[in-house]
Amino acid sequence: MAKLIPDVKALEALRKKSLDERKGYKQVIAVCGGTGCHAYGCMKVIEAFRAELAKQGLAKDVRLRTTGCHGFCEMGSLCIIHPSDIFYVKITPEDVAEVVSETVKAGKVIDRLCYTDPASKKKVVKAAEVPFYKNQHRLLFAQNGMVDPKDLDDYLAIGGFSGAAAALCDLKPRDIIDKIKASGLRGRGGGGFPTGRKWEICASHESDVRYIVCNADEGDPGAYMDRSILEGNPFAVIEGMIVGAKAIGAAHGYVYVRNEYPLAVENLGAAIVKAREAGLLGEDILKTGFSFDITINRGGGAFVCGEETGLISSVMGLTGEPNPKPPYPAQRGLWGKPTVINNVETWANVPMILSKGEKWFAGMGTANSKGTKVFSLVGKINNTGLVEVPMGITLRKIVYDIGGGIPGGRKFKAVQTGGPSGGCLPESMLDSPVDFDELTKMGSMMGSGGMIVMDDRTCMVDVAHYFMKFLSEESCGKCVPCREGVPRMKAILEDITNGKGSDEAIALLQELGETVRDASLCALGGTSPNPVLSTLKYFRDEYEAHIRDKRCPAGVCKALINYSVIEDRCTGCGACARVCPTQAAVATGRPATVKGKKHDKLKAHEIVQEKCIKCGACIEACKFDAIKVE
Amino acid sequence: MPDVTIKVDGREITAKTEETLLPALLAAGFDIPHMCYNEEIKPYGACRLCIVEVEAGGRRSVVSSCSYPVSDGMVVYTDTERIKKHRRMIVELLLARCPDVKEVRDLARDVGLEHEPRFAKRDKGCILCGLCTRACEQVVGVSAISFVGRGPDKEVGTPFLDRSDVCIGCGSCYYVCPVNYVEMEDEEDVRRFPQWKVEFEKVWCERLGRKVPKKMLEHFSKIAKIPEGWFEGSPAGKK
Ligand code: SF4
Ligand code: SF4
Ligand code: SF4
Ligand code: SF4
Ligand code: FES
Ligand code: FES
Repeated sequence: MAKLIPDVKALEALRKKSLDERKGYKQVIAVCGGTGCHAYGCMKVIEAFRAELAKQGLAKDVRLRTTGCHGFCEMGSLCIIHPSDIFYVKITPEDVAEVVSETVKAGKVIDRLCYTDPASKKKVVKAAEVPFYKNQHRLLFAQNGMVDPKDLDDYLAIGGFSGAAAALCDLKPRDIIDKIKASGLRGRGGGGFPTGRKWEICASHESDVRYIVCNADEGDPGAYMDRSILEGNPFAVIEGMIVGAKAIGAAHGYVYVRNEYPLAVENLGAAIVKAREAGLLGEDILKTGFSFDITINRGGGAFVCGEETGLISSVMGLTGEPNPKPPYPAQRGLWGKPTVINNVETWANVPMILSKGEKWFAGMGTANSKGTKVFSLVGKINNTGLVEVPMGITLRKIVYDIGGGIPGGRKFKAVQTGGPSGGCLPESMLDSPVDFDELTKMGSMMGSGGMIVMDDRTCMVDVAHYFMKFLSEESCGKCVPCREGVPRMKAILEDITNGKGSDEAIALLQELGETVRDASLCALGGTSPNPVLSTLKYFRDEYEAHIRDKRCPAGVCKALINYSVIEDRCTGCGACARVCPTQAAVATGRPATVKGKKHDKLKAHEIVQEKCIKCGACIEACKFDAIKVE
Repeated sequence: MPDVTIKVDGREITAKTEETLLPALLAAGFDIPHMCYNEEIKPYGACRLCIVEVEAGGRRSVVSSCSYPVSDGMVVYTDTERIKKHRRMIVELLLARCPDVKEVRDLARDVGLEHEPRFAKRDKGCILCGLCTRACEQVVGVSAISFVGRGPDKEVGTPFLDRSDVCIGCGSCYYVCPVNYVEMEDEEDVRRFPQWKVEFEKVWCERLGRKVPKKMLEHFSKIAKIPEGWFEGSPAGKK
């Protein structure tokens, strides 16, 4: 049971006490307990640390902190030891005793557990030196590493709830709105609507009741920044919502979380209970006369429920279908009342703006996009994970400095930003700054921050087809352009990848894409043609090759490619024959070639076209680059 | 409520404050195609045929006029190249979905779509405008039918496509359907809705002067708090 914090003075006293307590520890071992690391057994690692610290008599001096996601999930389980900043990756329970006795006690670095930079092949000892982290600008995610999501005192120790305290005691609603407006914060969920302006519209709408909603229905496959924030630092989201509630005059808020996020629901639920017990939620918060509480809503997980009006329908228990805007939710939302909806990342930014000041926030980023943005970096890239960068950073910096470039020394081809309905940007756009307006200008979008990197072995027509398939399955089916149009784009693309594309296909795709973009009811339909329109713009030659020459330049579209052995490179090792699922790769009677010389005993292989199902297993298996696709 | 003035294709017209654009445009004589709108039912914005361009802050955006609230001084364009082009494409999509539906073919002619749809034809009869389900819910108040499924496979039907227990046989769904997809077999003593798998016994109603489904009379008597027997109780005592 958290102790009740009666007023602001008590809050500051508790903050001081929490800070002092934390100073009492000589070291902190921060182990990630996020969903990504769970998959690597982080709970066992944490238990092992707890046991080991007790066994070695260090429990009083060394604090073990279970944190939320550090963003580098592929390296899990991972920990950072403070203050030395030693960073260990892929640790198992078996490593723990050594970490405690060698590193914690004796200050020695265990080489084997350090991160190896794939670019330089060098070991990196400190977290701050790891290129993946070094080139980011981590505000939200820095906090994730500094708090145990279930520990209110941890959050207070990093300055938590000082923003809410200011909003409740010192500021008028109008002042809060002005601060948020001056900060330049824009919604991180997709459209990038100015947050302060949204609050202002809501507050100015005559009504007895108003609501606050936190959208945590992250539907983009592969994106999980909102989950990680909610799991790792739920108090920040709660605090942001309190500030918003005060600004617009709401007494109740909802957090709409996808069902697939159990840990986020658990941590947020625990944080809400603690905040309530401490008197930071509920009646008369900190004796300021302001009351506000939060309910968690678990969503069915349809992609379209991430759209604000669809989400509102869903919270009210109706089919999660979007409705035409205007009226905007800020005018008429939940139960017909003015409602502010912002996503998790947006809410988490709010406390910082209040405590560090709107000028500080507006000092980061570009003219019209301020602060940082979290991206989920995946695909053909060396370092995958969640990256937080200042607005305005170039795509090249994200892909090469943070992401470490393309694996296997292959060539970059495109990066899709903004999730499944984002556009694919080519190499020539890599030096463009990443912000809301620039991305839109380039034919893509910020979206919620998905970022998929593609290499030269990616076929852009195939990519466009893949996303149209996904989006046609996610269309709610309400309006004609999206429901009827997206599957038609998918069908046309399917024909093209099968070598059956007609000469008119490109023009028809363009025409149809424009109608779906302009005339759809909601943003899901409105953005869905992006993958098609952007690839038509930047990779038209690939479409033409498929249609006119019946050729897939990237060697992906099965109907248009053949695998064959380059005979004078084949050493006869037989790797292809071993992996081929249909026995299409077989030895010939001809001699193989090893280091330029013919060997009679070793037999060159070949691929029997009639049997080949074009799975590509042989090309992956061949160490001698003796297999080609054309 | 004071009226507002809006400028449409250069011409000034007036509208009521609480109105949306489409009824105001129709009343002023503009010919705007629309298939999911009915003035008795809340706007839905699904067919997207009623799109127009609205100018705000120097930018023109495409909006559905049936759902867009009017405001004083707003500037609207109904017949631009962009609107015509998008509208034709929407009709082409509908025609590919429902190539045999007369109303859709007529619409194609009206918007100047001269060629056959460039997409593989399907053979649907329903355009999923949602008028029937909304009429049943909002006007009749029983929600006997609704959409089943999502996305391209969506259809209209009764829950689990089974016989509806709550349908009262009023026929509102049949009357509002813009493409005559809802089937109603209205005979002397019985009314059937094959798609909803229901049939109703009809009784004489003096007030209406014809035979109507009994369940419908009961329903309306109940919600309108009409004394029992009002519909049947005829001055002449005729049955
Ligand atoms: S655009 Fe797509 S998702 Fe949005 S309302 Fe229309 S059909 Fe539904
Ligand atoms: S894997 Fe390559 S080198 Fe080995 S037999 Fe097959 S084609 Fe020849
Ligand atoms: S006939 Fe039945 S389904 Fe149709 S509107 Fe009336 S009650 Fe609803
Ligand atoms: S049956 Fe008719 S009214 Fe109902 S959705 Fe289909 S087209 Fe619309
Ligand atoms: S969950 Fe551990 S780093 Fe992301
Ligand atoms: S009539 Fe307006 S969208 Fe259908």
